[in-house]
Amino acid sequence: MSSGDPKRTGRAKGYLQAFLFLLPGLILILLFFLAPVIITAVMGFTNMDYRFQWNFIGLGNFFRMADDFLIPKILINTLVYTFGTLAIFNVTFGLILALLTTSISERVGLFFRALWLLPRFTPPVVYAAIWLWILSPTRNGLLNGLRVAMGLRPIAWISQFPWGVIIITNGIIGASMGMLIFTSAIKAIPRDYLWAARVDGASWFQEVRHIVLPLIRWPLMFITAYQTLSLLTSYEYILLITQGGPFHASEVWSLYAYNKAFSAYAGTYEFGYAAALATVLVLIGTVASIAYWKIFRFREMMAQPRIEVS
Amino acid sequence: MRKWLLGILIFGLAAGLVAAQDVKVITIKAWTVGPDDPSITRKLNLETAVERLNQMLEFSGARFRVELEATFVTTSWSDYKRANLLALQSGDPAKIADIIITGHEDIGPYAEAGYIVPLDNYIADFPEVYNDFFPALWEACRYKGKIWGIPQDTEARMFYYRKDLLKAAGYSEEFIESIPAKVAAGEFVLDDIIALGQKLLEAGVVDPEMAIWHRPTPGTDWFQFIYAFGGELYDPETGKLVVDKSATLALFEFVKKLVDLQLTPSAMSQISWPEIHTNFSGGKVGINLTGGSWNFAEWQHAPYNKSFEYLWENIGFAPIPAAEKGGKPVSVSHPLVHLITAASQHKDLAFLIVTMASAVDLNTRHAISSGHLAIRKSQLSYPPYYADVFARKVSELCAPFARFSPNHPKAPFYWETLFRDGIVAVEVGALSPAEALENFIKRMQTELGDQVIIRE
Repeated sequence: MSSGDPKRTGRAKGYLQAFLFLLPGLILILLFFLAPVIITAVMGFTNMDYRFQWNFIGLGNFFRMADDFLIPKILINTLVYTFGTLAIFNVTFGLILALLTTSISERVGLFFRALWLLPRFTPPVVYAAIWLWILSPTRNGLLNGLRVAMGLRPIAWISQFPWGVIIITNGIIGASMGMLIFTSAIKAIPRDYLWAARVDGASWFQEVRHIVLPLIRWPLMFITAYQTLSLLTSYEYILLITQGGPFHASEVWSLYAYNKAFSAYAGTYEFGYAAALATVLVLIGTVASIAYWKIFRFREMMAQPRIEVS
Repeated sequence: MRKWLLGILIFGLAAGLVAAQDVKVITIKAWTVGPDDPSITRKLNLETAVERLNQMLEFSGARFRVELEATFVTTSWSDYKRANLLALQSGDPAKIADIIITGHEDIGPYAEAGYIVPLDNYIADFPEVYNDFFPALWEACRYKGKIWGIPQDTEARMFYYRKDLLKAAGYSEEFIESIPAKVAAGEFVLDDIIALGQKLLEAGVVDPEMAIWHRPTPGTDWFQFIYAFGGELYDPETGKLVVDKSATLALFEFVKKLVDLQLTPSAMSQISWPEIHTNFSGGKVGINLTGGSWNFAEWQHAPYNKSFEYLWENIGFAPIPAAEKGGKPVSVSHPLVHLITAASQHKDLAFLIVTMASAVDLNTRHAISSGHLAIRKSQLSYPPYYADVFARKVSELCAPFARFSPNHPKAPFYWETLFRDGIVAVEVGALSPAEALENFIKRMQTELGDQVIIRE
């Protein structure tokens, strides 16, 4: 009876079709996202080094992490870097850019948005080289050249402001992502709301406070969550500009894991310990995702759109 | 007629095919590295060796030829080594070179991992070549009683000083010219370098923090100062690394003095290599504390473009002085080696090419054009080498005091940590010398466990 039920066969067919449609994406996710996480996690239980041998040592790497006296410093660096860049640039500054460039004429707004996208288009190595020139501790650097011209002494920017340097250099690139998403969200707000507000005599600030911000709540929360996760794992600009130094002052978790695995000049090649560090980062990321999902009630966002798309 | 033509054509084609099949081409792959541009001769020498080999093969009517596929990396040591390691661990002969040129410190890890083969038996086949090598160089190629590498070149490390600036600061010509001899005799010590820097600064010849500069990165150079302060790095009896507390502390205190006296910028580790070379070769910085013989060649190329005559006239050098009067100076040498990989399908042929690339004329070409030193005794009397005043002077001043970095798989970790967690921490003022020592020992013990001995 069951096989003959046309309703059921139809539903099974539907599932099969959906599965087939999802299959290419599924394979990609399994191969390039899930498999590396599993391999990394398993590697985290070995003491693999330059010999690439899978010697399992139980929780050895995790005990070592508890003993590693650099870890507290690196954890603090990671939190300051992630939430500092997020709060100052990726959300706040991105939002300010979006608000300002949508409040002026479209052509000028577009120009400024394009300008802010430039750092994102610049190859990271070139971008880093420019910053190294700007921040050089000698009088040949841009900032110190200006200071010397004003009769001041050069400053060792990276030693003096390691957190500031990594937040600004990453934030200037990071802000453009929020800017783009917020701009499109603001543009999707039905114009009549704003016209009505203006008829009622609302100022620009009141418009933003009472109409725009409530209506772009979801994109704001999405960017916050997404950029937290992306900042937690990003280290390439830090590696290129400060190398985590001086004396680990700008070393973040993901860079520490990278250094353990591929440290400069033949370094250490401690793949096992590095994998354990990376596994902890994956766990932190997972916990953060679940926390954001709950706190920001993303289920509601997925359920029904709150912004009318015209 | 047409039959004839067709016949000739078919015959020609067949003969061509037979000929093409007859001479087999064997491809030998090699990975070579600068990272300094002038060291391209590491690659060129292998290419010339293959050319010579092919001529011999042609002459002897052999039915194969050799083709060399060689890379030359100029980005950085760390990029080069990382790429090599990742390819080596694949174990796939298609991805792995037959010949690798790298620092001798890779012998330990590569031998342990089974990536390379011992060469003692091959070496025994060419006594006329290999008995001519300086015996000390073989020490750098030895690991667990076997020889795993063929020395490719070596260099000397030294401190460079600007003769013109010292003269401008009021030093007499006799004094300036006598520095190398005084260093060799143990009369000129490390603190005298500080005195030179102070005088340069006081005379206003250099700007503050421009008197004494050093490399911004880790390197075997830093080991020289441990030796100079009377320390040791390796215990040959147990094969373990050694941290000598008093010598390490003395090094950290020396670095602190450089910064406190405004001779060296506290952010020295944040200055780029090109900026360092530009300022020293351009006469803005008085002393280059961690120089190498290859720098002299580097400064003659773009972007520095100084003539040999200019450099020879204005820049002097000597090995790193001892810390105490009467002590022996030191110059750590970092021999590069040719390695033959375990994955190579033509180990004999690869070794033959290495042997031919080690010819006196080829190695001398490399030594002179890239600022490296001879590896063979007969090079010293070979006219082109003898005629090179720089190479001769380096051999004379530094070679007698040559020492090596330990051939221990964790030696690179040692110099990396010594620099990043010690020297840099003290320079930027994050730690005092005593705190840096404590921190350094803690890191070494955490990472190396029982592989390190701590000595008072």
